[in-house]
Amino acid sequence: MSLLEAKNIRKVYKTRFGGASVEALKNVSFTVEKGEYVAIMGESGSGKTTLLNIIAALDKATEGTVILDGMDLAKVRDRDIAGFRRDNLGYVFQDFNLLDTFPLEDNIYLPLVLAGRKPDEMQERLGRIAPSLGIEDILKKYPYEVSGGQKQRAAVARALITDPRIILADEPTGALDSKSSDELLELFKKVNQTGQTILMVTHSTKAASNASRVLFIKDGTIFHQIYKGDCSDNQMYQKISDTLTLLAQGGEQ
Amino acid sequence: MKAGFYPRMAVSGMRRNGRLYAPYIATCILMEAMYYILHFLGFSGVMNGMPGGRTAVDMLGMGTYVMALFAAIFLFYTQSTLIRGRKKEFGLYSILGMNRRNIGRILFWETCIIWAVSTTGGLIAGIGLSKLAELGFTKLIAVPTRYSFSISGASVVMTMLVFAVIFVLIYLNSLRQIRFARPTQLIRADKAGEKPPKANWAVGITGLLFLGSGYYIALKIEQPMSAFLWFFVAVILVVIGTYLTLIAGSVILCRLLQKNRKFYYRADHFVSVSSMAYRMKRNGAGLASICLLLTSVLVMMSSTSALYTGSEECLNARYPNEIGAFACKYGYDETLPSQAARMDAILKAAAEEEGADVHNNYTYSEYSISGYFENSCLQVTLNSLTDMAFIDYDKVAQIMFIDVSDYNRVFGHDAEVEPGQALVGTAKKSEIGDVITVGDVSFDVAGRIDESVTEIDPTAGGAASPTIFVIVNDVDEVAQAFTDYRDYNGEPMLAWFWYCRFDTGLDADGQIALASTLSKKLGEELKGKGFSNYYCESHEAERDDFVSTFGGLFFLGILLSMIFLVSCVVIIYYKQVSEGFEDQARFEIMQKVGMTEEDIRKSINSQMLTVFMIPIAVAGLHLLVVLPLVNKLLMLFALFDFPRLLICAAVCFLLCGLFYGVIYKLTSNAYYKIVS
Repeated sequence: MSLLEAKNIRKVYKTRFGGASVEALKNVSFTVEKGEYVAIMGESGSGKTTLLNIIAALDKATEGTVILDGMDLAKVRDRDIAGFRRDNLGYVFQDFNLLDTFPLEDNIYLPLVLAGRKPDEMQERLGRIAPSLGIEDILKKYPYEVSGGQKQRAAVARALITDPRIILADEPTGALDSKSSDELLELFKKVNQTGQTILMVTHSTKAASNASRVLFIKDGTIFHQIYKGDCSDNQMYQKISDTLTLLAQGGEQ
Repeated sequence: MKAGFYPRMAVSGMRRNGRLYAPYIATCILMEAMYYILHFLGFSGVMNGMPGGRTAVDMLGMGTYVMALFAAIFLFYTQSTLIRGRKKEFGLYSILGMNRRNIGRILFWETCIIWAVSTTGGLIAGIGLSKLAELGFTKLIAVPTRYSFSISGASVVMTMLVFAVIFVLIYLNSLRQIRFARPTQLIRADKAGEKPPKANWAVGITGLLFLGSGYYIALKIEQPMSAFLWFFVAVILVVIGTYLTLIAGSVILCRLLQKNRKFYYRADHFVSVSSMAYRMKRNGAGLASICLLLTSVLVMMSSTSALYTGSEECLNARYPNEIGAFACKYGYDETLPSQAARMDAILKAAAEEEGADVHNNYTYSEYSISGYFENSCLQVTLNSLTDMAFIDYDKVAQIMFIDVSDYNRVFGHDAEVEPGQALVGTAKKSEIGDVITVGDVSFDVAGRIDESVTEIDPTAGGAASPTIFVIVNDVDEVAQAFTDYRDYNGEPMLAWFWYCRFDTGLDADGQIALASTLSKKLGEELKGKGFSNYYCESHEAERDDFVSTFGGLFFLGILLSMIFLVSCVVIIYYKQVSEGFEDQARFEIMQKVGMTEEDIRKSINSQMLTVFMIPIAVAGLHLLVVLPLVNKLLMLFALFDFPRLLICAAVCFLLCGLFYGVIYKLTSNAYYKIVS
C-alpha cells in the first residue's frame, strides 16, 4: 500500500457572494510510496499549492479523498486535525513561518511542546538532527538574527523533529538565494536518503531535478510525470526543462 | 486639483480605520463634554447665591484645569498611536506621488474634522448632561435645586478654545512623526523585526527601589502635616517605580520563567510566556498607565467617599456642641483668668437673652507653646523653632498647659498635682516617660490622663502637629517661665487659648443667629485688648461648609474617575486591537505547525488574563499601601475613621474590579474577532 494516496481530488473556490466559482483542481489522483522524493511542478496559479494544502489538511477538498498511511483525512475530526498534522506531517514553508518571539531552538521545539513531550526528550531529539542540518551554533539566536538559508534549515528541523510520516515542502527554495537553495536541496536529498518521504511543490527546475519523481500540474490536473531513475541531476534537469517547454507551448502529451 | 480633495481623503482615511478612529473620536467627545460640565458648574455662576456652595464650586473650577491637562496628555498619546498604525498608508501615498506637504494637508483636514465633530458632539452632550450633573451636584452638596435650564456661552467658548489648542498640538505632533521618514521606511514601519527585549536587571531593580521607597514613605509617615508634604514625593516615586517595574520587571519575570524548563516547555505556558516577554517592553508602559489610572481612581474614590459619608462624623468631632467660642492671645498676661470669666458670663447672658437653654457648658483656658519633640522622655527643645527656616514637621509638637483646677472642673475629677509635677496626655501613650522637659523646665510625670486628645480639644485632631497636654499645679506660674521665647518673627511663642462650648436647645436657624450675635458681643468685649483671634461658631453653620466641601470633592472625584476609567477603556481597547493584528499572523503559523484551536484559545486566555490581572492587582497593592497615608491626610479634614476608609476602599475596589472585568470581556471579544 502507498504511503499517500490522493484520489479524484477536486477543489472549487466560490467567490464570496456565491457568484462565479473557480475550479482550482479538477480531477487529481496520484500516489506517493514510502521513502519517495516527489516534486510537483507547475506555474503560478496551476493549483499546486492548493493541492499541497489539501494533503496537509490545511484546506478541505470539495470532492475526492486523501489517504495517509491508511487514514482518511476527511474522517479526522475537525478538532483533532491540528494534532493529526502535528504528529504525522512536517511542513516546510516558502516564507519559513518561524515565530519571531522564539529563538530558533524553541521554534523547533514548538510541535513537540504542543504534543506535551518532556524537555529532555526534546533536547535529545534535536541533538540527533541538528548536526546534519548545520544549525547547532545558531540555536539560541532569534529568526531575525540569521540568514534566510539558516532560517529554512531551522524550519526543516522543526518539520523533522516529530519524525513525521511525510515532509510537505511548499516552494522551500522560493525565498532563498542560489547558494542557500543548493545547500537546502542537498539537505533534502540527505534527509530522503535516511528513508524520509518528501513531497515538494516547486516551480524551480533546479529544485525539482533533485527529486526521484516529478509530477506536472497544469490548469488543475496532473498533466504528466517523469521518473528520475538512474539519471543524474543534470539529465533530470534537461528532461524537466523539455517537459516545461512542451507545457508552455500548450502541447498535448 | 479638485476642490475638496484633501477633506475627502481625510474622511475616507478615517473611515477605513474606523475601528481605531471611532473610539478616539468618542473619547474626544466625552472629554469635551466633561470639560464643559466642569466649566459650567465651576465658572458660569449658575451656582451663585447658593448657601455654602462656594467652596465646592471653587473645587470644580480647579477640576477644569486637571481635566484640560489630562485631556491634552491623553489625546496626544492616543493620537500618536493612531498615526503609528497608519504609517504604511502614508508611505503608499508618498509612493503614489504625494509629498509631505500633501500628506500634511490631509492630516490638517483630519485634525480639523475631528475637532469639529468632537466639539459639536461634546458640546451637545455636555449641554444635555449639564442639568443632570447640576442636579447631582446640588444633591451632593445639599443646596436647593434650581428648576431652570441654562447654557453658558463662556463655557462653550472656553471648551472650543481649550480643545482647539490641544488639537493644534496634536496636529504638530503628527507632522513631526511623518516628517523625517522615507516612504520605504513608512511602508515597512510595522514589519521591522524587533529584537526581543533582554532582561534588564538594572532598570528592573531601579524600578523596585523607586517603588519600595515610595511605599516606605507611605507607610512610615506618621504626622498628617508631613503626610501632606510627602504625599507628592511618594506619588512621584510610585509612578516612576510602576513604569520601570512593569516595563523591565515583567520581562525579567518572563525570562526567569523561561529558564525553568519544566514550567516553560508546556503547551499552555510556552506561547504565552514568550509572547508576553516579547511585547512587555512596548506594552509595559501601557500596562503601567492603566495601573496608575486605576490607582488614582481608587484613591480618589475611596478618600472622597469616606469624607462624604463621614462628613457628619467629622462635623460632630470638630464641633461637639451647638455653639463654640474661641479666643487667642500671644504672650503671658496676668489678667487673662478674669478676662475669661468675663467672657463666659457675657456669652451665657447673651445666649439666655436670646431664649437659649444653656447646658453642657464646657469652658477652659490653656497656655500653648510649640517646639521640637525629641527622645522618649518627652524633651521639647523650644529654640529649634526659632533658629530654623525649614521645619521638620515630623518632630514638631504643641504643648498645652492646663491648670489642674480647670481640668478637674471640666471633667469632674479630683486630681491633685504638686508643684513640679504634671499629668500628661498625648495621642501616643507609649511616649510618656518619667520626666517631661519643656525648654528649661522639667516636670515629674505623676500620671497620665484618661481623656483622649480630641476629647479635651476637638480642634487638636485637625492640627498639623501632635498635641501634648500637660496638667500642672498653677498654670500662671508655669507660663511665666516661657515669656521670653520668641519665634523668628519676634512674636512670643507662648499663646493663651480660651474655649467655651455649650448646647442651646434652639433650632438650626436659631443657632446660626445666636452664633453671629455672640460673635458681635465677643468682638465688643475684646476689641483693642490685643487678642490675635476670636470667633464664635455654630455647629449648624459649619455643617453647610462641611457638606459643601466634602460633597464638592466627592462630585469632582466621581467626574474625574469617570474620565480616568474611560481612558483606561480606550488604552485597553487599543492594546487589544494592536495585539490582535500582531498575533493574527503568529497564530496562523502555530495552527499550521499543529496547534489546535482549543490550544490557541487556551493560550490566548491565559495570556490575556495574566496581562489584565497585572494592572488591577498592582493598583490594589498601591491602594493598600497608600491607605494609611490617605488616612493621615483625612485627619487634616478631621476625619478619624480608618475603618470607614477601609470599607470605602473595599467597595471602590470591588466596583472598579467589576467594571474592569466587563471591559476585559468586551475588549477581548474585539481581539478574538481579529485573531480568528
